[in-house]
Amino acid sequence: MGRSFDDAFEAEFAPLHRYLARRLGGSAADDLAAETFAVAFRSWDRLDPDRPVRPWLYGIAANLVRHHWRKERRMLRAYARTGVDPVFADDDETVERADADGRAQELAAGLAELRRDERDILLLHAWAELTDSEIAAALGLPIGTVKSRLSRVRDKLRNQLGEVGQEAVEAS
Amino acid sequence: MNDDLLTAFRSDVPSPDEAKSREIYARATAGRRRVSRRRLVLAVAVVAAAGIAGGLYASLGGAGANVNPRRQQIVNKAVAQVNRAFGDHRITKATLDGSLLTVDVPGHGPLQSTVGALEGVMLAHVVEDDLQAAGDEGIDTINVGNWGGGPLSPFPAQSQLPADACDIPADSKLADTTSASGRVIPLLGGFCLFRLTTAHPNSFDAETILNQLREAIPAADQGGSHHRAQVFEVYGENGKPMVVVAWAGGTNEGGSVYNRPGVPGLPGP
Repeated sequence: MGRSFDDAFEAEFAPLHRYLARRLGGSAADDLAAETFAVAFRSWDRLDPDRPVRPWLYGIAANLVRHHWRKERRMLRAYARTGVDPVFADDDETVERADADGRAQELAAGLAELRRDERDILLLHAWAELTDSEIAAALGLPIGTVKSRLSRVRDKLRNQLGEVGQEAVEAS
Repeated sequence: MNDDLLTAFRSDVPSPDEAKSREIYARATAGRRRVSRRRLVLAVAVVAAAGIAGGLYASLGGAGANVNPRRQQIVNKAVAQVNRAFGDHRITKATLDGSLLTVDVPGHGPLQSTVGALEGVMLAHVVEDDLQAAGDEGIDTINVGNWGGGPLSPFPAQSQLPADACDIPADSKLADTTSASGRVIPLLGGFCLFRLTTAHPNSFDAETILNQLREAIPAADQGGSHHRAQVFEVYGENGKPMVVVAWAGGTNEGGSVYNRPGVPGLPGP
């Protein structure tokens, strides 16, 4: 197939890092992206040439993020409670940004209460922009399971958020 | 779509710049480890410690009901790979129960407590790599027979060592050493195993000899950013181990050291 690790890094690093930063902040994204690509680098020669790289990388990242799901929940809850998003902890504009949109706090509270696998599916869809089949490949799930869980988690979040959230979730 | 709250949520997180990209690429390909790693520290092993650790193993060990055949197959292949690499077949069985990997290294003694424990840790890293490459959930905790349990830390990526990277130069002057050999253990990029014999265990200066090897052989250098594992075994002429060092690799990793009573040996890690 002629795929090289360098090509994959070039194509996937920035979106993957950004996805991780949205979930856990820039510093954690540095570590998790490095670890994701370190695993990929070590396994590159054994990767099935027919296997798409993107979902494989996000699958590795998802496994690593799972070690941090409690931290992620704490960060979301903190944001919901205080209006200060820990993801932007080093950003001087944090308070201004947070106060400008109270709805985001409601969403943070809703995301915090999702199960780990629900959050993975929803955010791989909404933030990483993976297709259902890519999510299925990344998480090792049947595609039907991804579709049904995605639908269910949207309902769940909609119920948690009320009207404001409903518009948001439906729009996603 | 102006109210697409979920899509907009944290959408102003900045993209990484070129310098960050270069930094992460270097970390991924050159083996620098992440900062927020969990640590795995092996106990300092002495002969007496083996029995104590065995009790901990017994209390944690045993396969549960959450063994997935497909994941277990990955483990079984890795066991064969590690046994082949070390050539001693110390690991008789390993079981992945959920995210807990239990490794059976039966028997007691200085080699089981040091090298056997290291083999268990290396096995865990190999399995972790293979699981992640398969898109599976990884290992949280390992439980190695004769040593005990602990969380599994990430292992840094390493470039592949050539087969002769651990050869001891012929002109090396190693005091009190009857024979000396070094070889690459071909796991996780490779690391050195040195095996020496001495006719004078009471005067054998293990620390100096090991430092000589580390200076002469770049692959054995433990300074700076080098994170490779390492095994150093010294035997008496009767074939009994005098000093054994099994270093799991990484600046924040641990290792285990056995010094036969009465032998100067080495300090613990």
